[in-house]
Amino acid sequence: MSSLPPELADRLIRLRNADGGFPPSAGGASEPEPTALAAIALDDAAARGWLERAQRADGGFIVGPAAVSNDSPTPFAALALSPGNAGERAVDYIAGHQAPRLGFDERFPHDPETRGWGWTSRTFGWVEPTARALLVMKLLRPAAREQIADGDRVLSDRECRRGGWNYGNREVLGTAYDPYLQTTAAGLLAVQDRTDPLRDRAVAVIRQLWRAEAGGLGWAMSLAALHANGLREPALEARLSELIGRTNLLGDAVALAWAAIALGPGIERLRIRR
Amino acid sequence: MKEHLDRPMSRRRFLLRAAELGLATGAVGIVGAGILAQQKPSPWDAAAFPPPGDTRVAVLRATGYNGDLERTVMDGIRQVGAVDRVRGASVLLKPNMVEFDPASVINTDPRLVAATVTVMHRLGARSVTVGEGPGHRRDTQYAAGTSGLLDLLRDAGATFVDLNTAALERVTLKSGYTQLGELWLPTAVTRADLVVSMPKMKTHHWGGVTLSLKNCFGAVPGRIYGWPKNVLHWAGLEQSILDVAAAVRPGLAIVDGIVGMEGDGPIQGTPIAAGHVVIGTDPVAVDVTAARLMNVDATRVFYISEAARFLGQGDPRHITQVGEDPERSVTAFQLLPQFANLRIGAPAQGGGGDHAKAAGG
Repeated sequence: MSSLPPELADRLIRLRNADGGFPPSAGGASEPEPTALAAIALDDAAARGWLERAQRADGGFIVGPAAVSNDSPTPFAALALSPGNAGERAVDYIAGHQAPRLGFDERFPHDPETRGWGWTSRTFGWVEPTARALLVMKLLRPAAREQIADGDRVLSDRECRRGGWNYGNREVLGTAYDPYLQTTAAGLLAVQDRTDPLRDRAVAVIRQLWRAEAGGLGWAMSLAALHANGLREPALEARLSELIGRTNLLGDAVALAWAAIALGPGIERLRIRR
Repeated sequence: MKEHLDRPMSRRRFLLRAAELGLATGAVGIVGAGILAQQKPSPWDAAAFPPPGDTRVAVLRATGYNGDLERTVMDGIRQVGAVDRVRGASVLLKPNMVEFDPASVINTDPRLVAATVTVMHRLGARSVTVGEGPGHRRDTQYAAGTSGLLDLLRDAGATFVDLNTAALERVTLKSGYTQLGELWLPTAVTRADLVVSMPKMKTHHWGGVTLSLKNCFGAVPGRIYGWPKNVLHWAGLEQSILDVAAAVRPGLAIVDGIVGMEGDGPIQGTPIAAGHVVIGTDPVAVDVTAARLMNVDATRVFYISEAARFLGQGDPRHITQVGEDPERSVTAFQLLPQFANLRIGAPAQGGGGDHAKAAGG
């Protein structure tokens, strides 16, 4: 198990607000996603306390206006709060809030039988929110076979032609769309347990793309996804450390937290036992 | 309660919904060749949107990004009388950086953005910030860094703010084309004295064209509205463009039409050398003019024709063109077949399609 580099931990801790939570960037109000990821990365009791106070009666974690109801941070909050009742209630929420099925539309073809999870309640299921919900269901509620199968089917359906994922459209108006590094990393985290070639294609896409897509969030999530899969990429690790030192990842708390997860013991919380 | 999240809002449904809300009727602009029925609903707060007056739009020749772009931008700002808007103002430049592909021309060119930063400083801006919340990419450092924007901004003396992660505040909408009612927008946008919309001149596979009004989408934070900004697509793409642009209210628009994108824009299209920068203080008038340069009839683009009713000037009789003659500056952008009716002089077919959709992107 790796130990979190103290200098990286300090960068993240400096972002913590007085209420124990973490903002998306310095000076902002605490929000569930950066707080949950920081809690996982730092094993941070104050961050968990903030999450417990922020949890809604229905078990979910919402960011933004009620009319939009962005509940996408809930999986990471569930992971940060587990084991325990608060985490269980968050998992219950995820299980009860899959995206609706949409009819087939030839302009952006997808499997109309699938649901997945959306960024916001009751809208279309996309790759990243589906991947994070799927990961947490596999980790914390492996008995939910129907929902896990649906999530896996979404990722199979949305996989780009060459492997990996973008935000969620593999094809629009007859044109094949390419994968992105960051979303491929999100998907790879969720398919650690799969034995079909989809997982290997995602690994290959990450190894192919990371040099071209130089950015803190993509690199940090890619390293986390590779490490969760028991794979190493020393050159990426070195470049990420250099980027952190040079740019502080633009002060993006989510990116710094992912880097801390990738390089520290927090990665063990994301590892699916096969 | 969340009806607007149940399914995309079509134009027909928008009209019915507006009628249900008892919104007043009446029109300000004359743009629009009868897209809607004569009795159009007016889903905006009339007190917040006074009738637009006469305005000037500059069309400036620029054939490449290595020329004197500072002079081009400075000339344009002076020609449209916008110098006083800049002096002493906190300025936010909002380029289009929805995505980055080194092999394509998706983004407002960073060299034009950097030149504009320099011009803003020379004109006495109190501060200059460049902000964008990429709509497809969550890794803003990749998009802004690899494109070269961050390095150019450091040299030009401007800070960059990721509008997807920036501090937010709630804004009550003063228009109601969607049922969102409010938006959470970055304080970098809401508290700027002057927001400058800096779009790339592109076609758009759902909206026809994307210019300074559509560019305002990038001010809406992905961490609230998702990647792509699915809530906006779900609420109706063109209706959302209207509500978002009415909330952002850019006070200056600078269109990068030096090299634009035609065909399957805004991501998968092909580059087209259009050779112009378009500048004005009224984003509607700028979009009408830029569309004209693309050989697109803005009166047939639903959201532009609606914007001309309350958000800005769409009547060519009240738009004074300065600089190049737009009629001699047209470069016909290739349009997807479903937008053939947007072409200037094409047979009218009811104007645009229903481009509201759920999946977006």
